[in-house]
Amino acid sequence: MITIFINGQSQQVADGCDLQQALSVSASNDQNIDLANIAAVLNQTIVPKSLWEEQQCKEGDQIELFSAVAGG
Amino acid sequence: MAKAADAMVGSIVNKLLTDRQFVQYYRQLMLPQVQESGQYSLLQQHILIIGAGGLGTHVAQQLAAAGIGHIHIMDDDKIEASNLPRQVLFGPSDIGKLKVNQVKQRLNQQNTDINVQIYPIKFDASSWDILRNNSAFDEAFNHSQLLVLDCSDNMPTRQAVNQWCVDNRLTLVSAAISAYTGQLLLVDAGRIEQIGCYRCIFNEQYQAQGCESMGVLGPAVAIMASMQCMLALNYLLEKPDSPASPHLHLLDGLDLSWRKLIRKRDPACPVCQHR
Repeated sequence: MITIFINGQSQQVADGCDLQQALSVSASNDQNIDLANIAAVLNQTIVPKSLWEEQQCKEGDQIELFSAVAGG
Repeated sequence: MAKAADAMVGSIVNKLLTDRQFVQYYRQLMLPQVQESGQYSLLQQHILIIGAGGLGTHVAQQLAAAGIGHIHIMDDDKIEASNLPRQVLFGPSDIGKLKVNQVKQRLNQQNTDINVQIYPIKFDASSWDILRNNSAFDEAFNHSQLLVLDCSDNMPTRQAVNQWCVDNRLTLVSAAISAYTGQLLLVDAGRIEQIGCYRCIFNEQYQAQGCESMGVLGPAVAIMASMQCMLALNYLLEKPDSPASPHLHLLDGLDLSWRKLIRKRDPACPVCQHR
């Protein structure tokens, strides 16, 4: 297992876990996380949704989630 | 300062600006990034502002004052009382009038150097034909002198504007605000292969929050509009390597802080993957 941080909260995930899997675990534990409506940032870089399954997580990764705003 | 400006006026042989313009824009052109040539180029520049709401009115006002020579602004909305706290270009006597008409009137009063073209229509697939029918717009497009600023208020329009800019190789400065959160990015037509577009971050399925459902404070709108103008001016004045261009800028209005996130192109993006 490795420890990653999602919005500052530590989370244990399997070694070799990808970003999609890590976020799915996080969403299953937190009803406020809607994977269809969030963008993910890994260590200050936005990871496009199509790359979530390719992005492997590493020990200590900092993942942040945010939503789009559209007002003007 | 006036003496210094007079001295500089006298020292320039091949002037690009009139004496009156030189004095008017002196605080800008004294910046090494601007100078007389930069101010002259701003006076030749065309900017299309999509949306004349909170962002659009602030942006129009600031860019008009800065001497952007040709401002095109598109919106089909009329002014409502609920607009007034953040759309400070308007007053109570403007309620019920078309926003773009009032914007044009105010900008023309503000700066006689600029030309304002208005389009009282909603942005959609037919907008392109209407814009190209305007000879000034068409000429600017043909000479790559056009920058687009997205100041709209909903996700479908933002996606459509992004698609339209990518398809037509137009650079886009997109800003959005809702409650205390602001988002700003530059979609540089010359760097899409490296950095991607708006759709690379937010796809059309996002249920994005708007001010109608989340509320907003006028100063938060003004901050985002000012940053959108700064990004636009930086891009216009330092085109090749604008340092801000690879980022998504996030405002936290409660914490009074900004963050810069690095953007990455989505290789599966249906909008820009073939660029």
